[in-house]
Amino acid sequence: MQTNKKSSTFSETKKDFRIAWQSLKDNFKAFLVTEIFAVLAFILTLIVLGSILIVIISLIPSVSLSDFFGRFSDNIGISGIFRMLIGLIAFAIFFAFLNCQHGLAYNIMSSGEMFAEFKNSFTYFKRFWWQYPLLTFALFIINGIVSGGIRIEGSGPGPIFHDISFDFIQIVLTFGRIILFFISFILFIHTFPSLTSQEKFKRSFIESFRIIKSNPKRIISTWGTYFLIFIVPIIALGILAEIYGFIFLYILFGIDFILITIFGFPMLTLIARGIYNNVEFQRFKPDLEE
Amino acid sequence: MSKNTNINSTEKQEIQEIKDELIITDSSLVLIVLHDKKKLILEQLLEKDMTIQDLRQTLGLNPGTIKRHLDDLKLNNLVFESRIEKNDYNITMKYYRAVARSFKINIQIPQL
Repeated sequence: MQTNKKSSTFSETKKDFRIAWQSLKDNFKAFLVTEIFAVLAFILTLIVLGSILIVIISLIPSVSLSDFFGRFSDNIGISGIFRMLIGLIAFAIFFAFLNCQHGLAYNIMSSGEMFAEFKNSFTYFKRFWWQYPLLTFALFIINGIVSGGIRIEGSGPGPIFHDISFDFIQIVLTFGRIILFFISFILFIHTFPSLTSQEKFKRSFIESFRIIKSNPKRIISTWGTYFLIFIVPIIALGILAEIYGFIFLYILFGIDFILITIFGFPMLTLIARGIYNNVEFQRFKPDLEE
Repeated sequence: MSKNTNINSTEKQEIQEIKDELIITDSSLVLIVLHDKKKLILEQLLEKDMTIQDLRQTLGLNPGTIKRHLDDLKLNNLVFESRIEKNDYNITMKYYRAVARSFKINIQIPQL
């Protein structure tokens, strides 16, 4: 009986992946162009804000370029605030566009049309331009607090093989952080499909908790598989590259990063939407007409 | 005359009667009906209701193109959304159907 239940949970996981993959294959262009557009919007925002700053600097003789672009420690006031602001705006635009893929997933699985086009991203950008980035930043903060950032103590820029003690305790700590990251991930990942359907922050968090509460096995099984395929390899490569500093590890890390961007994130949005549509839980009546 | 009865009660639906024949006398509709791709789509929807994905598989057209033509046909009351269903994975599927089983064009010049 228990074996049947286990196989049933895993067959649901397989189905989550199979349908998400099929949907991604059928609508690959819309997802890819949205991602490219998000990156271009990010770069363009940096260029525009940088250009505005240069114009301001040229108009005010008492302010110099080094006040803004100098070393962070040299001018923590103006430089820090400016960097944070410019980064925040650029990343907000980037995440707003990137998360429009949740809208594309909605179009494929919930709108009835069963396909997505790049231009639909703009509809979702217009609708969720502040909710998507705010939710992303909130989840980054929550994940950061919960997992404490996944890296090896003592690692970082500097001479290779020096000052790093990669002992048993550190391995356990790293695994512990990955697990904590996974827990916070599955607790909040369904806020995005919920927000896309409900258009309300509070509801999205409530529904996300209800989903995990009602279907813990399936959620852990599906997202655990997702983690093993997409997240764990990049964390492992990142840590190994940081420790050993071999160039091929950085190359592998870069390749993995590109693969995650191209396949991982669209798969995430489609799996999250599939689970949101498919699992039994107490739903709010959606405001967005399906 | 028949009515489509396969309707999900939870969805907002329009129940529409399918005519045996529709005679087009409005000259502006002639261009729409005789448009290559719209005609192809309309032909498919004469006898059965289909989703955009069904039409894509049958006609090999881009779903975005199909959607735009369907919107045009819908706007001119030549097709309608016949039903909305959910498959076993709860993916919502919107079906379209022609408003009649056959279309005839009858244009008189000068128009009366």
